[in-house]
Amino acid sequence: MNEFAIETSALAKDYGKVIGVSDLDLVVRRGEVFGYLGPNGAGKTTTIRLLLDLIHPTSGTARVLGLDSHADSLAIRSRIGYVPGELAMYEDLTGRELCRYFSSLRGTGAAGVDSLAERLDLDLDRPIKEYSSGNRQKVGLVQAFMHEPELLILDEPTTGLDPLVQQEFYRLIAEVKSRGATVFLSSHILPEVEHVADRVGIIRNGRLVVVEEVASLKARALRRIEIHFEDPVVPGSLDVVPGVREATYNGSVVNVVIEGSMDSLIKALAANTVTNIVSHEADLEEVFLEMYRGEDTHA
Amino acid sequence: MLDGLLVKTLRDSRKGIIGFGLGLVAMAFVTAASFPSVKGNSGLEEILDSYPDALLALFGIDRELGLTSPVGYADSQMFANIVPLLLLFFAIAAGVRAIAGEEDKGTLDLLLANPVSRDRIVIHKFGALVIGTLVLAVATGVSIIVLGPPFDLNLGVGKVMAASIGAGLLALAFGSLGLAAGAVTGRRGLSIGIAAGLAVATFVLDGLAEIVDGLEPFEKLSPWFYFIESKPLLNGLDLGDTIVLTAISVVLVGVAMWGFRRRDVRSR
Repeated sequence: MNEFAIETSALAKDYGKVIGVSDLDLVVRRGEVFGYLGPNGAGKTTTIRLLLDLIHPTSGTARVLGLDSHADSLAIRSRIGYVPGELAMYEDLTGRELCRYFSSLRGTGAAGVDSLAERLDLDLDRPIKEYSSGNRQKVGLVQAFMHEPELLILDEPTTGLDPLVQQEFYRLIAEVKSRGATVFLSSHILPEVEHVADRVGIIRNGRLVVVEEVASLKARALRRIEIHFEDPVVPGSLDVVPGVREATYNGSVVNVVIEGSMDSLIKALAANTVTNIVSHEADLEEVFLEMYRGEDTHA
Repeated sequence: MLDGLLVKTLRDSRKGIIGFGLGLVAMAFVTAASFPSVKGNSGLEEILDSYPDALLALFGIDRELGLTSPVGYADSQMFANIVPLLLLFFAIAAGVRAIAGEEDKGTLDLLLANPVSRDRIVIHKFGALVIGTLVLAVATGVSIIVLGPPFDLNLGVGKVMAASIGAGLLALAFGSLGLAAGAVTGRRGLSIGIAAGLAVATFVLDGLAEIVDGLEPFEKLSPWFYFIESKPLLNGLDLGDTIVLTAISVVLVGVAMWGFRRRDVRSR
């Protein structure tokens, strides 16, 4: 058995005016949860649609579960579950009818459907057109997980899910992983990927910028912090703190970009009177820019 | 029960089948109920005699069949124009919906994540198109057979069914064109335009070719020729015409498979 769930070599999709993906060498190991991270329009969906043979590569090849993505597409598709990024479903069917229809096409039973629906708190017996966006997404998840596929390809799967359901989704991912299946999860949200993935690939402008273990990516993540002091601050005073990449001084307010642990910054601040700290989510854009700076200096 | 592509596709068409079916039955009733006012009306025949061939041809009136005989009446009022037109509106809509419609709505992505080949999708959707169109064609024939006699509109059962099936086959040719255009381009509006545009253009070509000498060599380019020329309501189904119309559909299904197989599915 091939050790890779997904393996692309020099995979490229040229849309002419728009960048699809170019020169993509992506390897996803069997049994891992792989986070595919990038801003919208970076090429995540293009990659996934290439893997599913919905679109054909301009050049290069992709192998999924050891099989050729185009020639063996039917065999591949019988072994994967897929949640598209733009989830469009048959509006007049109920959730249950949709799952039953797809199981009939797969030639599998729909045994797992009820327990999945129950776990995600989804009423399967209403027409899809009456569902909220969160419930639609749940139907998307149920149809992807119901036949216990070897590989799950999930394009922004938590869109519209409330936090409780997201937690249940993370548990589902963990269970899938524990039975040995592989999960390929695309997302533009860093914390989500941090939460479930073993490794992360970052894509930008159609190119795979870096593939890293989640732990080391976390250490590189940049965080934007806005610190409000009681008194004006001497410009330059925070630049020397370890981890601080950038500091902008604006009277008594300082905007800091910090990498990795915040410990040294907090200790440095303790000497002053701080009235407020506003911390923003680790900014993925900053991580990307940082990656690019790294690329540029190597070049 | 939803246990396959074909059944699902028929289910998607059920509103269209019911709607067009009711329309066709209603049209058969109105046509039959109006027959007594036309029957044996020699004044009407005289007026028609004075009309130029061009006008008669465009209205689907055959000078030989006349307008006041049961066959001439049913042909000019139903089978030479409205029945095939209604059937092909249904068939084009269903044919375009088959691939381009799903692609437009975005459901094709999810459908193709299942282990079903693109060829199989084309074939099953075509199968549903055939069933839907022929059900409507037969319903039309049965309606006029049942509703005609009370109004003295007596037509041979076999001939009516021949004309109905012929109209169905003609509609299927254009439905298959819609299917193929949708499969090749993935564009719903464009595919409707291609199929409906060609249906109307070849309808006009067929009418004009009968009266404009220069156009006559081209009349065989129009699928309508293979339905109208042999007068199925008078002569029954012509084997050659049946083969030509069926062949058009089969070739177009082949084109649909070829075009669909090789291209990218459009994302929304």
